[in-house]
Amino acid sequence: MRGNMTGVKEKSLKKTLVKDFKMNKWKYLMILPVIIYIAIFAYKPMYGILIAFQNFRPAVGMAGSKWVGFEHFTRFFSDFNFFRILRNTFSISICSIIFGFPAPIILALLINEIKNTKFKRTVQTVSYMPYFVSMVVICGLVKTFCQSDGMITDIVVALGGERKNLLADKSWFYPIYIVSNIWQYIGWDSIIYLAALAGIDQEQYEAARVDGAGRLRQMWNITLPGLMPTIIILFILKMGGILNVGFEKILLLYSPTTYEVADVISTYVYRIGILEANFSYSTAIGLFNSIVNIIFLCATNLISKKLNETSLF
Amino acid sequence: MSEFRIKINGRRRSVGDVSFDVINTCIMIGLIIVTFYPIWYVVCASFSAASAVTQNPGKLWWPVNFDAGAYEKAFQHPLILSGFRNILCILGLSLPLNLVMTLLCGYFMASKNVFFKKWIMMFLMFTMFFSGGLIPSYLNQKSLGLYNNIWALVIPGALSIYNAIICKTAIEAVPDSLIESAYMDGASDVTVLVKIVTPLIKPTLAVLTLYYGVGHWNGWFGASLYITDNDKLPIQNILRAILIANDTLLNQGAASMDVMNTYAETIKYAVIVISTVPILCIYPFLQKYFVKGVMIGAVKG
Amino acid sequence: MKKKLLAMLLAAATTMTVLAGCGNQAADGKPADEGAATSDEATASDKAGNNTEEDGSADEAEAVEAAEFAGYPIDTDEVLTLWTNQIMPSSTVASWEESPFHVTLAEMTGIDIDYTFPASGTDQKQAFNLMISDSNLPDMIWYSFMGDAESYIEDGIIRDLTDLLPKYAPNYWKFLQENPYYDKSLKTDSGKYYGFGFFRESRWQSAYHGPMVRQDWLDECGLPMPETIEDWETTIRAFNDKYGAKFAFTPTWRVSPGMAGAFGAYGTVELALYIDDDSKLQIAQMQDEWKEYITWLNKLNNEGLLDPDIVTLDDTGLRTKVANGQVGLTNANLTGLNSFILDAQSSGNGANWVGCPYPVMNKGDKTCAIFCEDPVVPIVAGITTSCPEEKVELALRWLDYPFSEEGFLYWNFGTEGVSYEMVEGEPHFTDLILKSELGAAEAAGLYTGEGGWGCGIQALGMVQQKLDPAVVEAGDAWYYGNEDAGNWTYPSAVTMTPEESTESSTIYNAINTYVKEMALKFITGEESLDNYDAFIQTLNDMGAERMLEIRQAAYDRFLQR
Repeated sequence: MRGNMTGVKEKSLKKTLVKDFKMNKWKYLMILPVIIYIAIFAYKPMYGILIAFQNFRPAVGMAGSKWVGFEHFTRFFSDFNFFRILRNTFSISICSIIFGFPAPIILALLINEIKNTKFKRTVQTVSYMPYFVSMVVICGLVKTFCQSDGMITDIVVALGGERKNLLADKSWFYPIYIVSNIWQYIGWDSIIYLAALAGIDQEQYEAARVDGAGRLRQMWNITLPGLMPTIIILFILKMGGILNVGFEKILLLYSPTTYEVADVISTYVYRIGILEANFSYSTAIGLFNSIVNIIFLCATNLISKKLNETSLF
Repeated sequence: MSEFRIKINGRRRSVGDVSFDVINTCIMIGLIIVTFYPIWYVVCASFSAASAVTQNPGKLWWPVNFDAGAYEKAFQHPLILSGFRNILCILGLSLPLNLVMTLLCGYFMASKNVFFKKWIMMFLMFTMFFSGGLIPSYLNQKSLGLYNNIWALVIPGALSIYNAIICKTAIEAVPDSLIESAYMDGASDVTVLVKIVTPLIKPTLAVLTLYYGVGHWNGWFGASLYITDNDKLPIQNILRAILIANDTLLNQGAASMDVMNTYAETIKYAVIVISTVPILCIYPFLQKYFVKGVMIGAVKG
Repeated sequence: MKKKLLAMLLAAATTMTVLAGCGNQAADGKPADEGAATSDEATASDKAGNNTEEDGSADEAEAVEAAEFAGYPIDTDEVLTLWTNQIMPSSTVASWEESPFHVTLAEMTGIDIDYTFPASGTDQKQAFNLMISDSNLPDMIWYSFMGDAESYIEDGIIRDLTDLLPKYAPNYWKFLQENPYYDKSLKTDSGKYYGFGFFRESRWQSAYHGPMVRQDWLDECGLPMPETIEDWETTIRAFNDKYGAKFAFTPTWRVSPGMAGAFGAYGTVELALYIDDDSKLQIAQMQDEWKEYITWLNKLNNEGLLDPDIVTLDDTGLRTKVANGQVGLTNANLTGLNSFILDAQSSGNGANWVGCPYPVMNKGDKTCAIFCEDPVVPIVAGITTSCPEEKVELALRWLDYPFSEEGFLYWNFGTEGVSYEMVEGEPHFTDLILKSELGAAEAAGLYTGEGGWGCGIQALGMVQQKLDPAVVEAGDAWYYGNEDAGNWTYPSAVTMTPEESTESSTIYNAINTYVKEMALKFITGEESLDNYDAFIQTLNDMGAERMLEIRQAAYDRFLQR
C-alpha cells in the first residue's frame, strides 16, 4: 500500500515537473542568464567564507594558512566589549528603523498631496540632494553644529539646556545620529514610494471624493494601502540588515566619552579587522552578522506572510 | 467637515482641505530650508577662500572672499577628463545590462505557479548575505580576465538582487487579469514582459535606473581594486585622489612633515559639487515618469 | 683595476663627508646634538662622519668584489618590475612616465623600472594584500611589511639578502655596518637581512609634534615663554582672562606624551607603551605619574581652562579654534603650526605662533619624554622570489643607488641646476621648487623621492627648506636639548610571530578603547579619579600583563639581534 503511494507520488512529481517545464519554459530560459551570472560571480568565490576558520594570510593563500576551527568566534564572543557592541548595534539599528523607516513614507505621502507641480518638483529635488554630500563633510558639519558654541547647541541652550559639547554627551548621541540620518536619506528613500504612488488607480480617489472622504481619509484608506506591498518588502529587507550599522559615520562622530553607547560591531571590526588587515577575524564576524540578519529576515517574512499575505518568498 | 465649504478659484473646497494644504505647504517649505542650507553651505564654501571657511565654521550665507581656486586645482588634474569619459562609458554599457538583468530576474521572482521558484529565489537571495570576501573575489575576477579594463567595472555589477526584489514588487502590482488575457491571446512570456509589464512599471524602472546609475557614479571601490592604470579610472576615483592628495590627514605618505595645501579645506567641497551636479541634471528627466496615472492610461489603452 | 678600487673608496668617503656635512649644518650652534646622541640611536650623519676613516680598509674585501661594478648608469636592457606605494608620481601628472623624478632616475641608474602603484585614491594596505595574494609577484615590493619580513622569507615571498648585500649593495651595506641600530632593525630575529630601509638623517625629523604658543599674546600679557607647569597654568589663565581662550589639544596618539614629560609620565589619552630605563616595556597609563598628570588636566578642566570640545576635537577643529582666537597654547604637529601661520597671514589677525619648549616641573629640569618616532620607519623594499636570479643583482644595484653619494643628492634634491644648486657645498632648492605655484611640497614631489617616506636617507636640509622658518625654530625648540627624551618609544622593527601579533593586538585594541574612554572621562570629571585603582584593576583583567609579556619577549629578541 505504502509502496504504491510512493509510486503515485513519484509519478505525480514527474508529471508536475514535466508540466512545469512545459508551461514555464520561457521563464526558466529567462532566469538562466541570471543564475549563471550569480554562480560565477557570487558562488565561485564563496569558498572564501572558510577563511573564518583559518588564520588566513594573503601571502600564502588558503592552502598555506592554518586551520583554527572556531577560535575567531570564541575570541569575538569572549571579547571584553562583546555585549556592549552587540547591544549598541541593536539599539542604533532598532531606533533607526522606528524613526527612520516611516519618515520617507510620510514625506512621499505629503509630496503626493502637493498640487502645484513646480513646487512639487522643487521639494523632491531639494530633499534628495543631501544624499550626495559625502559622509566626511556631513559629519564635519554635524560636529561643528553640535560643539559647545555651535548652532544646534545654541538652540538647545535657548530651550533651557546646558551649554556643552553635545556630541561628547552619550545621551545625545542617538538623537544626533538618527536625525542626521533621516535628514540625509529621507528624500532619496522616498523616491521609490513616489514611483509606487504613480501606480495607484486614480478612479479610487474619484470614488472616495464622491463619498465625501477628506484628504487625510483618502490618504489613509487609498494611498497607504496602495503603498503597502512596497513598504512591507522594504521593511523585510531592512530587518535583514539589522546588524549592518555602517562604520564610517559612527567612526566620524563617536568619541571616547560616547564609546559606551556608540561602539558597534562594524567599528569594532574596523579597528581590528580592517586596520590590521586581519581577514579571518573580520570574516568570522561578518559570518556571525549574516546569520543573525538572515534569522531576522526570515522571522519578519514569516510574520508578514501570516498577517497580510505579502512576503518576500 | 463637508458642511463648511468655501469657494476658491471657482472650486468648492472644504475648510479641512484648505487647512491641510496650508499646513502641508508650510511643512514642505520648512523641509526645503532645513535641507537646503547645508547644501548651500557646501556650494558657498567651495567658492570661498580657505581661511574664510575656517573662520566661519558652519556659517556661510554667501561665498566669502570669492575664490574659485579649489575648482581650478581640481580641474588641473590631468586625469579629470579621462575620468569623466570613463564613467560615461561605464554608464553606457552598464545601464542597459542592468535593466535587462533586473527585469529578467524580477519577472521570474514575480511569476506564479513555477515549481522551482522558491529554490531559485533562495539561491539568489543567499548572495545578499554571504560573499566570498575580498581576496577570493579578486582572484576570481582576475582569472576571468576582468582586470584593468572597463568590463571589470561593468560585468561584476550587472545585477543587484535588492533592486530585482524592488522590480518584483512592482511587477506583482500589475493586475493578473492583464497578463492572463495576454496569455489567452497566445503571447509568450517574452512578449508579456516586453509589451505589457515593462511599460506598466516604467516609474519603478526609472527609479531603478537612478539607483544603478548613481551606484555606478559613486562607486569607486571596484575600480580601486581592479584598475591599475590611472587613465582607466572613473571620475570618482580621480576625485578621491584629489581629496587625498590635498588632505594630510588622509595622505599617510606625506608623513606629517609636508605643508598642508592651501585648498585642503575648500577642495573637498568643490569635489562634492563637481561630482553631484551631473546627477542633479539627470533627475528632472526621470521625474516625469513619476507622474500619476501611468497605470490607468495603460490599462484603459 | 687598482684605479677603480681607489675611485670606489674615494666615492664612498665623499658620500660620507657629504652626509656628515648635512648633519653638521643642522647641528650648527647646537652642539648638544652630537654629544647627546646615544650609540644606538645616533643619527645617520654623526655615525657616518666618525667612521669614514677606520672603515676604509675593513671593507676592502667586499670592495674588491664590487669593483667589477662599473658605476651608474648601468648598461642594461633588462626591465625590473616594482610594486610600491612610495614615490607615487605627483598628482599633477597623469602617470610616472611624465614625472621628471622617475624618468631621470632611469637615466641616472640606467635601469628601467616598470612601476605598479595602487591606483589613485585606493586603500594601499588592501591593494598590497591583494597584490601579494596572487602567486605572480613583481620583482621588487616596497611597502611597510617590516613586521612580516620573517614570515615572508619563510613563506618564500621575499628573498633573504644576507649574502647578497655585501656583494651588490656596497653603499647600503656600509651604511648598515656603521649604524648598529639600523643594522639591527633591518634584519630579522634570526639574523636575515630582508630589505632596504628608509632612514631620517636626524631625529629632529621624527620629533615633529610638540607645544606651541601665541607669542603676540605672551608679549601683550607681559609674560615670558612658559617653562614650568606653573608657568603654563599662569599663561593659560592669563589667556583665558584676557582673550577668553582655552587650552586645547586633539586627543590622538600624537599627544602622547604631550605635557606628560613634566610629571615623569609618558602618555596622555591614547594607550602608550614606553620602555623604562631597565629596557622593560610598561604601560604609561598604569604609572602613578600619569595619575598626577591627569589630575592636573582635570584641575584645568574644573577651572574652566580646558576647551569644552576637547573630547571630539580633530585637526580641522583645532585649526578653526586657533584661527578664531579661541586657543593660545596648544600641542600640535609642524603641519598644524604651518597652517596656523598661514591662516594668521591671510586673515591678518596678528597671531604670531611659535614653538614652545616642553614644560618641566621645576625650572632647570628636563622633560623625561618628548614626541619622537622611532628613527626607523617601517617602510622597506625587498626582492621577491619571483625575481629571476639573473635580475637580482640589478635589483640590488637599483636599491643601493639612493645610498650612494650621487643617489643621496638625486633622491633628496633632484637634478643639480634644475631643482637644486650647490651653495657653499650644500644643496639648496631652487625657486623652481620653493616658489612654485603648486607649493613647495607638491613641486618637490615632481623632482625628488624622499618628500614623504622613501628609500635611502632623508636629508634634514631638504625637509627644513620647505618649511616656514618659524616652524623650523619650533622643531629646534622641541628637539635640541631633549635628544635622549625620545628614547622611550617602542622600536618599529620589533617583530612578532603571526600568532603573537594576533593575540597581542586583540588585547591592545580592547585596552586602548578602554583607556581612551576612561582617560577622557577622568579629565572631564565624568569619572572620579578616586576610581583610578579600579581602572588599573580592569586593565589587568583585560590582559595587560599578557600583552606586555608578548611584546617584551619580541623586544628582547630584537635587542639580541
